[in-house]
Amino acid sequence: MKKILISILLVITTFAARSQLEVQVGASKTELKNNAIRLGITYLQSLDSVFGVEHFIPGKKSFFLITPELDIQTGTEDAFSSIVVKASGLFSTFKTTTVAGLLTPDFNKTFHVFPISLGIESNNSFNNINGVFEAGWIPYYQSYGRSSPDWIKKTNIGIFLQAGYKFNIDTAGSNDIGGEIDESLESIDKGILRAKGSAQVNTGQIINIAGFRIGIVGDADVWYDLINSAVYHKLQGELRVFLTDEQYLSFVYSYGSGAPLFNTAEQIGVGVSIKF
Amino acid sequence: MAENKINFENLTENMFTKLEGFNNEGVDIELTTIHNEVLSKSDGFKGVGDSASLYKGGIYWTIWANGGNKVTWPANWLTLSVQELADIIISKQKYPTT
Repeated sequence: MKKILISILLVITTFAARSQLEVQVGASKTELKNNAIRLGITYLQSLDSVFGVEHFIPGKKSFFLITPELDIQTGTEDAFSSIVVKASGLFSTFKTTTVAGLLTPDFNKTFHVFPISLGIESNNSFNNINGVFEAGWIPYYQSYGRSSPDWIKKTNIGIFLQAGYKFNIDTAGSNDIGGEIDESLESIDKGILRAKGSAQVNTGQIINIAGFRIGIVGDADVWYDLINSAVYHKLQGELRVFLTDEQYLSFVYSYGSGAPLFNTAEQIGVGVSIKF
Repeated sequence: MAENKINFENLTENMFTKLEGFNNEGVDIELTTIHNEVLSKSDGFKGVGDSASLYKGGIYWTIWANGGNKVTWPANWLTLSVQELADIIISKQKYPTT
């Protein structure tokens, strides 16, 4: 696992100069009261900025964008862990308007974003690996060109359908504890089929106290396992203290780990997020 | 060749309009505004629909729908001003000869 993480970090470093990299490092207090290091790496990159490949496909009142994505949430001991690597695309449909004589998407009216992705999700021990295809719908109503209340513009909702396969990995000798335990009912060497609903509130830098700007982010994800008739959840509350526009301290409470383990443990953490 | 309606003035007006839609910080939108003062690649929901990608898609579509030539934006386009990016796009447009 360490060799894999080092390899991934070397790849990220190579692309960092051309891409946007967000690193989150913090300490977490897990349910078993063990001190752990929570390392989250969110790596965002635009396909054409690195590989020079065309990734925009226009249509009548629509367009399609393609971007790869790497998201790692891991840590030592029994901290929550997940690794998600996927190729993703974004299909958008919209009404049009005319600005300065040009026909253009009218983002001041609600438009629709349909994300699709194909990839793998795993824990940091790589003894739980799922191949997953996901399609979803996210309405975009948050334009600041609209007259709707500001609080609505700080929310997001979406629904998704996930289908895939849970691979059989040799787990001999592994001894998962606490937040590393797979608590899903999804069986090895079987298909995966889930419906997911997500909601988020992100206040941004809403309060200014003694020169520090503070914001709150609340996330809720609920999955319905259509094969096993089970419900999984991940709830997360985060208090952000912004040091600069690109750096903040975060205080995080998580209830549930999300995919692929759907562990129901609680985790409390403190971290620093820096964007390069 | 179909008529290319894109010019610096109408392109930048469309860029201003799109930027205002993502302007949650109340930044003054003008030719010297740097894109990353308004846009971000990490403000999407569940890693999707970030303001930078939607803005780019919106401007790409506007250029395509009005007979313009598709231009691959530089990797550092978020650090460019509205004027700098518009200059790059316009410099690569082709217009039918009469």
